Amino acid sequence: MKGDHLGEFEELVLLTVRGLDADAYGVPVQQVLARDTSRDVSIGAVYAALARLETKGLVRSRMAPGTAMRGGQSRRAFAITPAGVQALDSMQQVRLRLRRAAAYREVRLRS
Amino acid sequence: MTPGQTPPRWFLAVSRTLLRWRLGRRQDAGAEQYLGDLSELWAGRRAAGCRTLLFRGARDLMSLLLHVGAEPSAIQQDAHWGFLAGVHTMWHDMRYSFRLMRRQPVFSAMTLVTLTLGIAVSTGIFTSVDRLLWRPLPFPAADRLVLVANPAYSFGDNRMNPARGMIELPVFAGVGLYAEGGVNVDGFANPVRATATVASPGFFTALAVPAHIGRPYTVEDDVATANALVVISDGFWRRYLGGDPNVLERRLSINRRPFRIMAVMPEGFSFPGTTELWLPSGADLQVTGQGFAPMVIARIKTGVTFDQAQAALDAFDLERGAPEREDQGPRLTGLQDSLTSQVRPTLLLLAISVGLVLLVATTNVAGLLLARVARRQSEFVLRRALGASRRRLIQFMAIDAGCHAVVAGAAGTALSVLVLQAFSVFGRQWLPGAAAIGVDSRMLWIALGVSACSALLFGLAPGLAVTARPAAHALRGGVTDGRGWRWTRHGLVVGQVACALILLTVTTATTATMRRLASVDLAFDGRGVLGLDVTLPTATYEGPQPASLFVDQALAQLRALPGVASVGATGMLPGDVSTGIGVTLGVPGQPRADDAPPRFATFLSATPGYFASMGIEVVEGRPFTEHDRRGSPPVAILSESTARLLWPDGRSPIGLQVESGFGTMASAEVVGVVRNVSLRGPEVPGRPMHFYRPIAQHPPFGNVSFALKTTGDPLAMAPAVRAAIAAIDPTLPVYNLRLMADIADGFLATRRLAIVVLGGFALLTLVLAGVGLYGVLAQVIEQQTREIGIRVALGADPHRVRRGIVGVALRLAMTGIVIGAAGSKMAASLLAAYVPRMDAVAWPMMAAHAGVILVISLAASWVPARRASAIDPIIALRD
Repeated sequence: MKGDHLGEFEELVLLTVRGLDADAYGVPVQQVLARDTSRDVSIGAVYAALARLETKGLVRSRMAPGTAMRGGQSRRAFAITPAGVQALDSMQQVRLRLRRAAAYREVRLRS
Repeated sequence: MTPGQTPPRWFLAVSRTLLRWRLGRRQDAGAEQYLGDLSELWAGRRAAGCRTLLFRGARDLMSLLLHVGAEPSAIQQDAHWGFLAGVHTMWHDMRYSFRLMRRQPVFSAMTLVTLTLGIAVSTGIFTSVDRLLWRPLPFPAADRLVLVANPAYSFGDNRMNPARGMIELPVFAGVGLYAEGGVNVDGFANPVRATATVASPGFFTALAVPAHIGRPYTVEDDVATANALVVISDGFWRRYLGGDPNVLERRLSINRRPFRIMAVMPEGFSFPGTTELWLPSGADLQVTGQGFAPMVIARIKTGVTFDQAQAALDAFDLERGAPEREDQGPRLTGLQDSLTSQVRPTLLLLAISVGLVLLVATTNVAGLLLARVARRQSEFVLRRALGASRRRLIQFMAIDAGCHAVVAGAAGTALSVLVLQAFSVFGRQWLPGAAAIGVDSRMLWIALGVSACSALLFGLAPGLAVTARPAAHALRGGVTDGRGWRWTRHGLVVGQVACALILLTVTTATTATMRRLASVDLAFDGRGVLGLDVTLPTATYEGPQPASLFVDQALAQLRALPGVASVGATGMLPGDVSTGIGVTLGVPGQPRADDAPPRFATFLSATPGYFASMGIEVVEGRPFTEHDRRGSPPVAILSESTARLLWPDGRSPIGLQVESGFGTMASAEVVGVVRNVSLRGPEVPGRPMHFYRPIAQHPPFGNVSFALKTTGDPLAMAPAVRAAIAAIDPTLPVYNLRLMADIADGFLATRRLAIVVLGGFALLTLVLAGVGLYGVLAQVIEQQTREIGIRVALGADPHRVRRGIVGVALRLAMTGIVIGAAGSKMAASLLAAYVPRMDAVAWPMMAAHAGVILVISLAASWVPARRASAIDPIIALRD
């Protein structure tokens, strides 16, 4: 368990949910992740990550009607919460700060 | 979405069940949404042209089952999780195993092909043995059915029956007699020849099979209708009576007499053989053609043992006191044993050979897998050192072997289906009942069992062995070849050599025996000869005169056909199933000594042209002529062995008188001696004693067989032959049209087939042994590469290194040969008990085989030894 912190895979899932907006449910999330990360992502792993994100309050879900593609079965649509947006932003900030510090050190070492 | 894009219904049903089980009380999460996901993923892949839809679908389902439903924090405590994680690990192990197979294609192919062959052959043979020897006969409590050899009969009311005293013995629930034969049935579009069995009422009581329609006849029915009763088989009912439900009101015209139909037996009941009609014993004396030697069948009462029944029978025999009887008293044998006694030697021989082939194949696979495990020992040691449990490693190896077994099992089962089908088609001529061998669930269970056993053997055994050493110990000792390993592998090589030698020796000895028997002179020439049978019903051919007239007319008609070189007639042609009539022989003025055995011969009548048509050589004197008519001096022809029996001093019997008879003796002059003809094939022990009389002086009883020597294709004559007989009597069916050459081939077919099969097995074993030796030696030597490298680097002569390796291989082969020689001797004496007149093991032949095996061992070790000694020491040390 990763407590309230975001794991790497969780962050990728959260980003995908944010990008997909209203279309975010298991299958599209898995397909986008598989395509963009070139990883073998299983549908079960996506649901496990979504469940953890929901427990942390970073996403919320509601049941939505099914489509013909799904044989008419309903789907669980996910949407990012304000807390989720904030978590992604703060992760981004941390990354930027660390990257800037590293670049600064490299410049100093070269000079 | 089109229906073709959805997952199959069964897949969705399985997924739904599993997901619901997984979600348990948390149904609020809804299995339906996950099913929707599975459908959507399936449709997407299908649209993208994916060809492994089911595989990927199963993977999706597995991942959902593993991850969904459980609260993240509670996953470890979830009751289902442990099981699912186990399945997941197994899945990974399976994938790893298949990856390994792909990575070592030669090794995998060798293992899989060997296993496949082993599973296919063993399944095929076990199924045949099961079906033919062990499967209970289709009668209730068939193990209580026995045949009574040397029974006593009674002839009250003009009916033959088992002796009343025997029927009334309290140990039996039913005693009846039966004899196979055939009858003419008319009243249909064409006259029909049907296989018929004479059966006393007790026959049905003993078998205890209820009729499908009506009921089998009783003694009272039999008396009331003066034997004009018949029970018909389901097949006959459907084929000729159109499955008429009111069949019991109909009559059948059998041998031109009306018979009342009493019962229709259930489907599949045709005992004995392929019987279509059952008649009471007094019904028609012609049913069995030439001879009447009924079998007696009995059912032992529940609660009575076999020995008690035999004891009761002995007591009955003693009480009856039959001092004039020269044979032994009545003997019981199990029905199944009696029916399979002819097939048993062949099948057991096959089973033993297959067993040996299997043994070699299994040692082969065991050797290969063991060598592979030894090569991967370093990996296992490392994994254990890194914390993998012993259970985990063994589990992997079991799964690895399981994957091999599944692949080989599937291929082997498919192959064994082919083997069995081939067996049931080609085995028909030489194994009665082989046609009934098909594929069924029992056979699949056997295949499954064999595959599972091989998986356990080859997976668990090396698994247990390789993980037995504590990890630290193993690491300290490095990953070199241990002494125990070497012993195991050397043992396998020795075992393989021994098995190969045993199989080679035994098969050569059996093949030699069979070849000797197959070259037996049958003393007749069936080439271009057409055989056919006609039965003359006594109702229309009463007395000898009409029968003689018919034979004369038929011979004249047949001789006149274009393409016929000569025609002869007799009562029984070679290969006929009828029992034949035994006749007592004597020489006038030479009374038989009291202790001398009675002199019997098979009685045969023949026309003048018979010997010429059948190519039977007249050794002395002359064949019958047209002058040997009714009223002219009685004459006889003897077979060589009959002549020897009557005049052991070897003098010529021509012109001497011989007495013959079935009670009262009559004299005849011997005019000729012919060769000993094999009437039933060469395996019937004893010399064929035959006593021929002219058909004109002794017309055949009921059945007449004609032999036509033709100048063209004999079978093309069939329509003309039928027309010729119909011109004399249109109600007589011509049946059993056969090529006498086929009969001669049939006598030898079993042996020829057995020679081919056994020879094939021997060759297969030799190949397997060679492959196995090469495989194991190559692996052993490969493991010693570093040691060899060091020795060469330190200045050892590569030739000496090579010689050393080959020497080890040859020593192993020699040990195997010594053990194999002892084993061959034992196996041969074991086989001699089953194969009649088996040749003893020839030592020079065995030495030759040993030589062949040594050469193969030399070749198998030379190639890897050369490769190892030619290796660059630097590379050997670096690896």
